[in-house]
Amino acid sequence: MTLHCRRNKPRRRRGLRGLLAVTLLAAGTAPVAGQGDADKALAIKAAVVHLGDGRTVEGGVIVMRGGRIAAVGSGVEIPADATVIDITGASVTPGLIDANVAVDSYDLMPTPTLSLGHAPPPGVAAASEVEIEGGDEGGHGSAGDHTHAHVHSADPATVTAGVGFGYLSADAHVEAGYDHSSCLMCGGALVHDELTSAAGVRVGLSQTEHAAEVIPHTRALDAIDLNAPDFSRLLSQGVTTVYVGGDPGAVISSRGAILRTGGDVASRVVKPESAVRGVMGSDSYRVGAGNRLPFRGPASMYTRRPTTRMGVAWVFRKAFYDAQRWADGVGIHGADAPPEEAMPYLIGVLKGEIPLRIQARMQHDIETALRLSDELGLSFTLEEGTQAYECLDALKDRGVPVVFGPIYEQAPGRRGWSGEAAGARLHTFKALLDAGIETALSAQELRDEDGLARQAMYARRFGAELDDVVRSVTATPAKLLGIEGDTGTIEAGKRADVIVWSGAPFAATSRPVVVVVGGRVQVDRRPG
Amino acid sequence: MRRTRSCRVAGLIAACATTGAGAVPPAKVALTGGRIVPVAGPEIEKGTILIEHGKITAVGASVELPFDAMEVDVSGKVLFPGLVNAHDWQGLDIPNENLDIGAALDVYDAIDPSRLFFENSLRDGVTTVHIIQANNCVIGGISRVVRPIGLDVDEMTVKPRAGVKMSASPKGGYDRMAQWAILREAFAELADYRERLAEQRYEEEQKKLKKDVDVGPAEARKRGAELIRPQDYDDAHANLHELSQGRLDAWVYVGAATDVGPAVKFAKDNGFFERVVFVLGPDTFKAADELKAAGRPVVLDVNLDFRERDPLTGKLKETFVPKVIADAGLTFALLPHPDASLAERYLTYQAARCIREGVARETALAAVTINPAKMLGLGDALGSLEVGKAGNVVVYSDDPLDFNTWVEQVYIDGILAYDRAKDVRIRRLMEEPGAEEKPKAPAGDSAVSDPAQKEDKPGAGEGATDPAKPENKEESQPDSPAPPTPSPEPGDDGASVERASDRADRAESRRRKDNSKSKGGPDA
Repeated sequence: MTLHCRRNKPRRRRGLRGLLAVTLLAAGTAPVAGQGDADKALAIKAAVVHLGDGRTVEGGVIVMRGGRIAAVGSGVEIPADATVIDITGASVTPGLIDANVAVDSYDLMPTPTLSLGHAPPPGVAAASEVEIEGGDEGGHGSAGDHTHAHVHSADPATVTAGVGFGYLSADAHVEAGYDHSSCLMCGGALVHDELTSAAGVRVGLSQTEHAAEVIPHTRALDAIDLNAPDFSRLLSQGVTTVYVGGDPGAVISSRGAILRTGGDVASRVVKPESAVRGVMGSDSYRVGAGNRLPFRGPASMYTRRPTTRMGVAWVFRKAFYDAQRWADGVGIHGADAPPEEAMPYLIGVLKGEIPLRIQARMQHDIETALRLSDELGLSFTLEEGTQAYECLDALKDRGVPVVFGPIYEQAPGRRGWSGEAAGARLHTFKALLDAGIETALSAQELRDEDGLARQAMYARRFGAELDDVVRSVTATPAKLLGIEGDTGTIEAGKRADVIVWSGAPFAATSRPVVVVVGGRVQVDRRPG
Repeated sequence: MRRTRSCRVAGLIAACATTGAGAVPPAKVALTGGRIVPVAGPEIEKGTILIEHGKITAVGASVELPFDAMEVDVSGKVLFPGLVNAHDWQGLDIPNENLDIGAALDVYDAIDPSRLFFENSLRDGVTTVHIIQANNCVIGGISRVVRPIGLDVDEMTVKPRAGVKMSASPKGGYDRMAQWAILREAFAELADYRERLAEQRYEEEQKKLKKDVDVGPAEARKRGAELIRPQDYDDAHANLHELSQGRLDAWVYVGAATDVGPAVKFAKDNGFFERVVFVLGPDTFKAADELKAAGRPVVLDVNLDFRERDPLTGKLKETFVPKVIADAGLTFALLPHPDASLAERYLTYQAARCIREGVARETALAAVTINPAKMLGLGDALGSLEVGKAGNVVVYSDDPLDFNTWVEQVYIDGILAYDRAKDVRIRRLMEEPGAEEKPKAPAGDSAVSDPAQKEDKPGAGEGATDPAKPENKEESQPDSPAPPTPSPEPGDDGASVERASDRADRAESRRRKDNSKSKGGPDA
């Protein structure tokens, strides 16, 4: 951890805020450390190469050297010194980019073991890391760092408690090694990560920031364990770059970070401080411990606003008006005034120097975000956008890009019981694409078996074309994150982040066989 | 059964309605021009399946059709046997009763045909479901094999008394010692009961013959043993007795590798080993050798990936269970995941995952069709597209293992039980006009515009029940009053369905317009 702290400090200089500048700098100055064979070429032969920008090359060859793509095409010559990966029927895509991921720093992720009525497994690991053969051992977190997260109950009776009604997870609790019987929040009946999993850093209560409702001065990066097994899992699912936003427990939350999932920890931070996250809807007052109404008495240190959507909009609006007053040297009043240290960041957002993202699911929340942004002259990227199909024209008119997702047939976890996913439609992603709205696809906290690849699989099922889907998990998120000069497509000069699929990408019968990050094989599932 | 037949009649009328073939229900349906994946035998590139009176009577590249067969052109589609869900509690109101020994129970009493589960099964191409209690039990009740169509359980039933559920792994609140003590005690008590019954029967017979009981209790029991008639067993013991005589199947949950050995021994000791199916937990595959030695079929856990952390090194290991089981040569069945938010809820997706992990395609396909059918003792009747088997056919838009594939139609016993073109729910979820792929057959619109179908109301007067409309009870929504699955009832119902949903669509689009007009908002 010390490593990246040192690296990040100089970046706090304001002058370098231009997205692209910082990104390119980060990429350019981030050699794949410890790479003895960096000069040795790696070549991949594939039946189909999806370049990421919607184009494909049949019978393509990709040559990588020094962590960068040297050449791609159908008639590219393979250097004599190159290690060649040649899998029959394979296809290649750029490394996937999830522009709105929630990282599970504590490894709370339950296996999808939520068997209703099927007795849960004795001693099943709740883990989200996979064993990666042939990978870069040094770069991956040794799971030993996280032994606290896994107390394996050898006694299924413990695990089975409450299975009669089978709500997720007494078992997930036991597996995660937390004693939830004394947990005030869940009383052993709910799952911690369910409470905080809506977006951002999925870390349990202790890392939902309760200091204030306006906290753009805090950084999600500081809550992220870069060695968390979840990164290995993301990598094994083909996701090579992620954007981790602030947790959604605040109206104006922390600044997100752009990270790589593979390679040396020292080189993983692409951008330590990216967008500020605004949160519309109920997440800001329900996620984490939740905000409390005054109960039989005046507002006190035990109460917290907002507790309604009106309050959310008010806190959001007031924050920016107060920031303007602060910049103008006028005094600030009121119970909901943002902390002073937030002011420079809010001004940065107002000036367009710091990108803004707003998470909103329901139609009226999206419309609130649009109203507020119109009023305050903000431009933003919409996150999640469950009911965006109802607001296509409005989003299109304002040029609001969307980091859409996840797609589901039945809302999992928090989304389900918050009621905010009730208006979900299966065609939304395709509708966004069809409307010409710049749309990236995200799996957020959903890892399942395939994570983002599964989202892409759903997108295909619900009508989107393969090329569009590939773009929405590679080139488009790269562009939205401002790292398109470095990654997101397979072309000469870009970072050598490449996935080799056993068949067609995002098909149920294929999966990532080889994942290359920065020109190095990080995941290798080839037999033998 | 008469009732069932009238359902079939109604169903076939609906089938006619969708193809516009007329009002008279043909008892013969021919699906022509599709790629046939029969599971048993090689695939047929372009073939025909003929279903007569609910049974498949011909499968082949060239089949001569009877003159009165209703021909359904399925060119470009893939015909696949109806999927078999080997083990699911979801048709029940709750998964397990709060009893240790529940052998007197029958899921018959708890199956709720209106469950969304049945509708979803149909939508996902499952034509046969084994409804059985969940694993949190010691000895559970009698299970039942049903079709996901029908208004009541009798109508749905394919096979009553399919098996007894048991668990070799501890029920919630018990440890293994308690679990096994109760299991052993159940059969020990059965032996005691038999003795008492024998003695009682001997005494009864003697009394009937007006003779005294002139022997001691031990001798009386011996002599009375053959006097016991099946009806003498009370409810609590009848099923266990059947089980111990090997006349009933046992579905035994072995939740951990350690439970396999005791479970095998217990089954052998109590006479039902030859009829046992093992239901595996997530890590039971570790006893693959023992399972192989036992040679009994197994049902895999819904989670096909087993992840385990080494307790010493903390290293995480991932095992794909079906690969281990397939490599051991065991006959296995896959289950759909009960969490409908996951893609694993599709049996076809579970099979597809097997393939990407290196299991042979035939093995994976068998695990969702013929294998579970055999486990249920219905190997001759279900699970593949062969002459003599039930007319359970799924019409897929493409290869069933491709995730982009949709179930277009489902035939159960020759009845058109599901038609995606009329699936109001799917249409609503994919409603953006022009945004989704167009429904293959605009059945709704034609149903409305076709006056002939409005005239014909065959079956309406004969009180035909509607086998595919069981879901509507709890799920009806104010704006979509239609049954979620297309009604096999005659055309007029379909028409009203469409009209209602069209109304809903119009209202929806009006609302959307209003919304976009007022996007600035009055308070902005």
